[in-house]
Amino acid sequence: MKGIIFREFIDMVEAQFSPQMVDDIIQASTLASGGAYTSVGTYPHDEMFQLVEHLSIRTEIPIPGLLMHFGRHLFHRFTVIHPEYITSHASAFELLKILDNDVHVEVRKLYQDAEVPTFDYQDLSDNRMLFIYQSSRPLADLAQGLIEGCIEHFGETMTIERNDLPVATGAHTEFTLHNILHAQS
Amino acid sequence: MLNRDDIHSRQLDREKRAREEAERLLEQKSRELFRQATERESTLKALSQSEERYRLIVELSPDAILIASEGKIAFANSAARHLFLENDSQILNGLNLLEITAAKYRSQVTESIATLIQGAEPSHSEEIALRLDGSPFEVSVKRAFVLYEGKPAIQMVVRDVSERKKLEKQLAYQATHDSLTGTSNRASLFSHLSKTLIEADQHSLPVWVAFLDLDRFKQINDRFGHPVGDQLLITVTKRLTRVLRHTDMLGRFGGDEFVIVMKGSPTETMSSDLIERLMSSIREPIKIDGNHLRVGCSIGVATYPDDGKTADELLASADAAMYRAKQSGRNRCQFYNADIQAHLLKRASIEMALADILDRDELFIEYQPQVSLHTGLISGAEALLRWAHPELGRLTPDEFIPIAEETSIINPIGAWVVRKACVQIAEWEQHGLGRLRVAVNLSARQLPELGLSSIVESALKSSGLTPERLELELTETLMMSDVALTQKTLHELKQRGVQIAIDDFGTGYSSLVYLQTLPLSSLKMDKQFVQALSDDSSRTSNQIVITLIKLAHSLKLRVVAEGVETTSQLNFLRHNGCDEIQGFLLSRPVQANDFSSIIKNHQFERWIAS
Repeated sequence: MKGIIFREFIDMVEAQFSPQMVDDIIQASTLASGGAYTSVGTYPHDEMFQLVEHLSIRTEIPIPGLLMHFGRHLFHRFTVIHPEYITSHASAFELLKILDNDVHVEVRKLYQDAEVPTFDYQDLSDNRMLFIYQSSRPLADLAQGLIEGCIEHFGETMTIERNDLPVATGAHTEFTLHNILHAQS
Repeated sequence: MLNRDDIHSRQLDREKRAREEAERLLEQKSRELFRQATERESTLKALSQSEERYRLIVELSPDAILIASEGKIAFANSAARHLFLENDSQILNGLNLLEITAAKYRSQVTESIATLIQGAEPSHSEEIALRLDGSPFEVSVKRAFVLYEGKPAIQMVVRDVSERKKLEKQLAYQATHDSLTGTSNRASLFSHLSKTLIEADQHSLPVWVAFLDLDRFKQINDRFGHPVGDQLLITVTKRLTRVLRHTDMLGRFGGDEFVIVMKGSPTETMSSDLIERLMSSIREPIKIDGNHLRVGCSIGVATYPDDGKTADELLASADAAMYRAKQSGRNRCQFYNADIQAHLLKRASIEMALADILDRDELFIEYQPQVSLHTGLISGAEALLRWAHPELGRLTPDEFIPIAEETSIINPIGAWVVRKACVQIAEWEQHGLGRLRVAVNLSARQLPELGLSSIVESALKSSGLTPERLELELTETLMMSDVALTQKTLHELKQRGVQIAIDDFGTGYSSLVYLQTLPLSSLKMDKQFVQALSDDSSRTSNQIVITLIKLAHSLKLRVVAEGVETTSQLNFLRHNGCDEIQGFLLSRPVQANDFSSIIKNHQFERWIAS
């Protein structure tokens, strides 16, 4: 997992909880990196799971909730760090559709070794889209948070129906997105 | 407080380690970039060297190489500039590609380029290109799609094939034309005839095939030499061509043989007028090197479909008709007919039976006695081959030996005759019928055969006959067909002790020189001379016989007169010193059993003694 994700996570915990919480969860975890992340480095994704797990213990917030929260936060940060990817699109559907082809291609240009998940989609109707997330890591909650962050960014109102498909490792999840306002209009 | 300091200290520590990690990554990345830059530099260098090599190859290539981009020539190598005759005022670069393409090929070239740009495989074609001075020439062009200076382009390798094409045309011409007369040759004539027959069959048209053979052409060749003979053939070809219609086809079939294929209309019949004009065109004197040569021709005509269904059959029929025209006295035309067909069938039947003739037990020998005019006794016999054909009846050598001579069967037949005759003569001796000599006729084809000497030796050995009792008879024509080889073979035989007689003397193309140089033992005077003998001894014919006898004796040759039928002929010959006679007066040729009776009866002594 790219160091930038860890950096964003640490920054979020520090801002939204405290520097002490950051120190605590790092201390509680067994991290090869020692918790010293640089945005251009690459670190085992297991370190993220340890950090989230210890944060959950200390805050008594369930892990899925924390990951979804981090996802929403992360999307917001993307709009700040890489506005060029975001501003050229007019809607959440539009942005989500180009994730696989455009954004991940750009990610690979920056980080050749990045292990990116795959995003696929099917248009079910004008205001409904099936969004399929597949990853070697079980991070469907983070993905959901990112989708929600995206919808939030465009100020849209959608229902998200989530269907986790059975897999041995990682994640294979279908999100059915329904743009309610669009349907009413 | 301490806790807060500890946290801060760890935070600082993490930040330091993160920075160090970032620096390490930066350093690593820098190295990677340096390595990539070095690699790129070396790749660029290799690329530049490769380009230089390519440029050299292209520039030094003997083939013209051009690159056209957006329809215009953007590059031309040295060979191309040379091939298209580039000069100071006219250069290839910048020209529209079609300007160096002959008008006829422009659409084809445009289409080819379009398909190449669409991704087609490299193409190869033969076209006509235009030099910068506008002169056309034949080229072989290979085209392939390339990128030139980042733009789609067509690279062309152009080779001048004018010479090759010229040679191909020459070869094609030579394959179908007679090199001497320039008319169609046998192969092309055959192919034309075959095609004509298909066409004729579809439209029910008649086709005539005329086989034309010059009369006595060999004599002209022999007398005036081959260059004159060749010139004569050229003139004949020209004259025939003038008489023929443009729809007719004349071809030289070989030697002095020509074939004419004539297509007719449904109602047309073969015009005797045309034949007459063909013949008279040849009959006109031909002036070559100051000589006025006269030559005639014999023509045989076969008609499709009556006289043959295929080219082979028609040619064979026309040939047979021509042969008949020759036999009938030359300088005439003969249409193929039932008689000729019967003759052909007979010949075919003979040909077939000849293949295994020695296994069929149908050959036998008749013997005609030769009697000494000095003693009145039988001195020898001429062995004469006969064939009792189961369907055709009794055949004389004239009817089947020429056919046998066309195949190798003549050799075993010849060997059989020599052996059989030797055995017979030896057998008569064993039965107390005297030490006779046997004369065996040799075929023209046998003489040059290297095996003749060993055939003779084997026959003598198996029969126990001494060599001087075997006489081989050769005609003058045969002897002169290949003088050097004839002399060699005859001297070999003579050395073994075998006697050599010259047959039918006085009728062929005699040269007295041969009488001097060939190892002869006897001379057989042709029956024509004997039969012309008259009671008036002053007659020329009588004088010729006297002279021949004197000539032979002066050369120490025994003289045998053939065809003696009357006692007055016998008396004349005896009176003038002839050594031996043979003829119906004494006996027809008879089978071996009858011959032994003749010997026993000594029946000739009364004539000779009288």
